[in-house]
Amino acid sequence: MSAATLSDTGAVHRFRFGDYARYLGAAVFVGFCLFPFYMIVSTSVKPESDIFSFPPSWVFDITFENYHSALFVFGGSGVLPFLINSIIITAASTVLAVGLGSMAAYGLTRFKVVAGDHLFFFILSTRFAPPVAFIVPLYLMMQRFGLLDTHFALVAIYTSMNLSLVVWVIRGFFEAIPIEIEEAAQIDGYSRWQIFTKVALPLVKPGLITTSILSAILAWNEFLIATVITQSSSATLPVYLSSFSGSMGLEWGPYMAVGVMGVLPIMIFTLVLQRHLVRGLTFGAVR
Amino acid sequence: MAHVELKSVTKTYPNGAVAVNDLNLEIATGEFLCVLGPSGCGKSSTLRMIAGLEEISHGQILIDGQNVVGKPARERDIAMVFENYALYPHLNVFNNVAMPLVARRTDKQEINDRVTRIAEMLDITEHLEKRPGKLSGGQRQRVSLARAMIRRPAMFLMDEPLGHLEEYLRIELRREIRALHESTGGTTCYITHDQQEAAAVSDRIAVMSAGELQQVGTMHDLINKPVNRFVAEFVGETPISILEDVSFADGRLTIGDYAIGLNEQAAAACAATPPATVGIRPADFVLGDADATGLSAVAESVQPMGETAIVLCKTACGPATVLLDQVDLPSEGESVRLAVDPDNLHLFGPDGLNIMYQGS
Amino acid sequence: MSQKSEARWTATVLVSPAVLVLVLLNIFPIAFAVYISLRHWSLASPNPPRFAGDFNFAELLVDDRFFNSLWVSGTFVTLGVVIQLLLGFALAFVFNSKLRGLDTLRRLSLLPIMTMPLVVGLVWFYMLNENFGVINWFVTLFGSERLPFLTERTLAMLSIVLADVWQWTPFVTLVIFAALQSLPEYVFEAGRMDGLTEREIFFRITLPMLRPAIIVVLIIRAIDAFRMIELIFMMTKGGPGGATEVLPWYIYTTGFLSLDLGYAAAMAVTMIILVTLAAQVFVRQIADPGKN
Repeated sequence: MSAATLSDTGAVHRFRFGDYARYLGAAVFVGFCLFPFYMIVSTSVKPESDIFSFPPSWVFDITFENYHSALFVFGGSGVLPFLINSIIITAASTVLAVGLGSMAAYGLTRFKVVAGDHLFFFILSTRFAPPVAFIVPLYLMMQRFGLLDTHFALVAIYTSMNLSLVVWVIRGFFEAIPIEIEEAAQIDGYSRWQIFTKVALPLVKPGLITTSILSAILAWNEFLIATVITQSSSATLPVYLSSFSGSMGLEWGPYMAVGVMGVLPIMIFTLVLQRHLVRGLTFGAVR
Repeated sequence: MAHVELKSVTKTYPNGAVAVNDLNLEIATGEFLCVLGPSGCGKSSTLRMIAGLEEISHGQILIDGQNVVGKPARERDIAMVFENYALYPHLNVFNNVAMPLVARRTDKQEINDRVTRIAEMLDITEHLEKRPGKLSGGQRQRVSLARAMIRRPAMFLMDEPLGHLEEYLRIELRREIRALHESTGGTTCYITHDQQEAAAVSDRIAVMSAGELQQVGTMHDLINKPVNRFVAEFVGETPISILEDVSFADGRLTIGDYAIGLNEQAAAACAATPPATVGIRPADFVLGDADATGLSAVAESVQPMGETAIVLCKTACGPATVLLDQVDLPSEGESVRLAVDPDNLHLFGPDGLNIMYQGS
Repeated sequence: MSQKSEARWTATVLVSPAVLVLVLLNIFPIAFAVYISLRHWSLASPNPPRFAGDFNFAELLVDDRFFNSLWVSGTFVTLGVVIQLLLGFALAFVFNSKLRGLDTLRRLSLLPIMTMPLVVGLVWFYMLNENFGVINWFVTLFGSERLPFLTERTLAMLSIVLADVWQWTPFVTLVIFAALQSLPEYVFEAGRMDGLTEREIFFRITLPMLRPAIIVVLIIRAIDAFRMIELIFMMTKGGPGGATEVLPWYIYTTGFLSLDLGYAAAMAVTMIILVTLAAQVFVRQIADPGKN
């Protein structure tokens, strides 16, 4: 097997043993990756009688009653209010993180800021703080300011959690823009702020998309801080989902339906924009 | 040192595009052959097929009489110098140069000796501990050469090695490469699109176009006896003038309003194949006044170039480029006459082939 | 406004909001956590918080459960990361080819990465269930008895490792694959011309050139695995008997079930120190990946 991609040698590609082995390995791996998804989805559309059968039933009638239950009934209120909270909080924190983060990245790249390099490394280093270390102080802080169980609290916290990644990735994109373009705009009479919004930002669109995806994924999936900070009115989908863990007599159908709803939005969002994602990730890691 | 023969070598891509078409070429033992041609002419593909980096669609490649098609690159005893140096970025210069010997399990002491010696020969001793990333283009190319030369292979292949270097470095390194070849021998096949480089560095030049070999010979041969229009137009510092409206009758060639008597050989060739165009090198024109004998022309622009000058003329048969000494230059817009010694005519048939060399 | 002061004003406006947010919600909480760790502060006790000095930290040093959690975390991280790295690395090469359909397969394999970790825990909890889990169905196909995946000490650890490997191996594959694709072909050609066999090319050229990417992904995964709590929450809740009680879980239960905030904060501070040390190594490596 050649170490890097096989060069196109012009010969007709006859299938060799190695090719079949490759397909087999890839298929087994992908099968392994996708099987749990099949489990969630299939359980979510199974009628209750089929769920606990052992051996598992592979053929069944599809029903959507689990989804109805999940949205409106399950656990008393259904998941809908929490779903909405998740959407609001994810959207707001993503916009803020990408907005503030790209501003900071631009400021640090194009301007001589006091202790600019230190500031940059400081921002980067916040990435490594483990969420579990924050739950105690953040809980007390939010309690003190009456922000427990508010949307604002989570939006603010998720924004701060995403900032370091946004700054890191976007800075790379800004550095790749030749400064001549901005200098030309300056000569044309644009203010520095206008150059940022009208010239630089549009040029880093792939980076903005990448970081939006990554920030949204983090905020949408985040569980620990949400569970500590929120209770009922601002609780997100993960909080709701986790609250059933360990309870007896669980209705797995609706529960799995909630799981699907927790996973599907991000998946659709990401798969559609996936090209940009790979470019953005590897830009930072492999350069 | 190897003797190399390419027999009917052809390379086609799955989509039908032909990179090299029925190439027959011979490189004598110890010869330095240059393959010259414009981008996309197939010279790189040819080189890579000799190297074993690309598969051949049809034909044979004989090295010292043995057909190497199908043999992997590492068994062919060939060294290659790449266009972008292809040095191992994670190894220092010493280990880069030593790699061919390491691959052959040479013992440490010998590796040490040979690397040190070749580093001296190529003037890179001070860089041995450095990584390629820290070297300039010229230095990297020297390391690349050292790596190729260290195991004394039967043959060297060089794929536009000086392409990414600045002008003065190119001139300096091509001298060094030639000098190295003369001191160490070694059959070499060298690719370039730069004619001066080809002339400076090689024993013979093979001109290729669109996957086909046009002509093989020294630069002198290519300039003075071009085998077809392509070679005539491609080779030469100042472009040749191709004139149309050419006819032949009664032993005389008529170009526009200029009639020239041809010698016996040329006349016979023209009788057999009527010429369609004629090529005349800029230095072969004789510029005369409007009332002299010759093709009537108008001097459109005069460009002085130090000791010589280039005069671009317009004639009824097409544009003509004339190279003159810096005396007696015409003024712009002046009507002049262009004459030429019949021995300096390059006559081409309707198919572009030089009618003097049909059948040669 | 002069050009220079306009520049300064714009720079301030650009950078300050992010810095402010980080100071408020990142730096200050850590400082606050240190403050809390130096106090007796329990929501379960009737006493108000009072200064304790290094009491909590001294407690840590003799706390068997703490050391158990370090051991469990270490095992989880090591097992998980090693398996992910080996598998992901090999798979990067499997996908490294122009065969048709391979790229689509590779994209499909990225799905686990985007999945909510809580849901990952949920579905593996469901599949590994002793009574009706589908994994046990496979097991019985091979003639064995149903296995108590989540209630036996060793199996529980292996189960959470399995879930973690499932979710993150595609990430390793992604990064190594991208690195592999970025390697210039002509370096390998030079290797072939120099006389190296394909095997030698792999060990002498490919592997060393992939080293920066391998290190990056190793450290990212190690740090992230150390922080993992969702799988424990959904699958084992630290059991059986502390066999899967990783450090984050111990901190969480101490702070929000036992309500001993001071002690939890002390553990949190310790964890931050450990992670920061690891992060230093990481930042140094990406700053100059060429250094040996």
